[in-house]
Amino acid sequence: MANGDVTVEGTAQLGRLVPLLPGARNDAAGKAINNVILLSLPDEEYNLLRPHLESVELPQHKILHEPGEKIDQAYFLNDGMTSLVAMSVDGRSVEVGITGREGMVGMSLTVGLLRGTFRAIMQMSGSGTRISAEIFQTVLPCCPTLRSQLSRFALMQGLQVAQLAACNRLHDIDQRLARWLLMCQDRVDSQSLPLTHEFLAQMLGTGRPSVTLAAGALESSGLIENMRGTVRVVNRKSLEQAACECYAVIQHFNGGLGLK
Amino acid sequence: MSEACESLQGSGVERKPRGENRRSIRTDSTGRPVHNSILQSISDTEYNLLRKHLEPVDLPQRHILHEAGAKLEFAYFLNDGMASVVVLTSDGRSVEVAIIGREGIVGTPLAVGLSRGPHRIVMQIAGSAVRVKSAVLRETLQSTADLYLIWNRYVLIQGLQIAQIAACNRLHEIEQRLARWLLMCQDRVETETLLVTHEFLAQMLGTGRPSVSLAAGILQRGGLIENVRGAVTILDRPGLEAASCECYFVMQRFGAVSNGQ
Repeated sequence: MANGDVTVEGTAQLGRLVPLLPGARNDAAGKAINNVILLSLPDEEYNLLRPHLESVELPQHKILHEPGEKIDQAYFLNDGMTSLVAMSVDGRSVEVGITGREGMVGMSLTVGLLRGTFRAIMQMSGSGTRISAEIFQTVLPCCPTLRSQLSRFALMQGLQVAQLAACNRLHDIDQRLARWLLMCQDRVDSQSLPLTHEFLAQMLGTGRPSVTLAAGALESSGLIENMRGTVRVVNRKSLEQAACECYAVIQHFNGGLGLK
Repeated sequence: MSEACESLQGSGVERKPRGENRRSIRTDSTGRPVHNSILQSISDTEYNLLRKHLEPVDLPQRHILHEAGAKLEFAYFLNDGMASVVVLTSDGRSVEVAIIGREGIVGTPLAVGLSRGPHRIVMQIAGSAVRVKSAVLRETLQSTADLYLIWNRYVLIQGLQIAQIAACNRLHEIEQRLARWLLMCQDRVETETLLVTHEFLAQMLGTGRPSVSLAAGILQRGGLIENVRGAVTILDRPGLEAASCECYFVMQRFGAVSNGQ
């Protein structure tokens, strides 16, 4: 059962996940790595991955994966934020998960699912590294810590998504908009978020007028400022109070991933 | 490194589970048969390590396997029946975010070292299971590489199911969601009559009881189901599938993947 020991050694370490400092590692092109999972691997595993990690710039709205299409690459973000978006056959959409530098985009590959179910789209521009699906699947069995880290991420992401599933059903658009802006700001460290109401409507699974109405209410209370194509967070403390409890719950899960 | 690599690749876990090829019926520590797909998928060696710790339990409807925020005392492997994973909000409302039958595990956070789970897990349809103490499970997982991998595969597939429900909760009408729910439930119990009240359905679907009764009335007038006191009978399954949103079929595909098909 030697392999069992190896596999679970990684698991035991997970409770006290201590990633290296951002920039302590670099990719094949020498660019600094800021992704928590990549920074948490032992050297021998990282060195297996490193030659295959290709630096990529990820501009806002770039689509990383399209539902039903083959997943060619797995992405490890250094910064920025990806939304996982479910698309209904009637053309409507809603966000069902967020991944930033704490995770990997293309998690289905870890269980051999080669086609994605959701659209993965850059919500906030950033950068990262990517690895081809084929190489990733070959290397993964040789990387027990990577597997453990990804398993933990899958579980925590599942908890986050479960909270979103409840939130989507039970909470008002004002609360959900506030929650969404906070989650977004957590990942970009800037007060100004380049977002149109149209795009927010697609994320929140509602019509644009409802978003504009809710954003107007938050603006009248002095919490945010709506400008063309940008939402500026003016009073973060009050925005936290305006959000539903889901924000605090999800933030707690993210803490378990070394994000905040 | 390379040793671990070879043995992991050789474990067969990335390929089809062995459930269909197994030669003998597996039994728990008291000799009762075990029908859980996960337990049927692991190797004999690993199963034999677990077997003596598997305690059979009968799980009546409404039995709470795990309360939100409480310590996870046991992991459960259902043989039959169905459990709901429910998110509770501070204002007392609730909504179901996943369902678990004999294809799955209750207590998934244990495998990544978490000792508490944030959701209520409640038996929706009565059934039975085998359970194992959390501490024992954690220790056993150190020598059951197959179970560890299959467990994590299940976690990911369940995550996809939850994401689909997250979208469904937002985008689809109550009639569609009710039809989807009844189909998912029937898939796990294999009877035509489901013992569920509209009140309970409302808690699962995150809506009020009157909305459920209205939607159930519409499905009944269409000849798809029959509402009787405390139960719903499915009369026309293909019709119900047509009335459901696409989410039912999407999630069915996830189920096939988790069974290695």
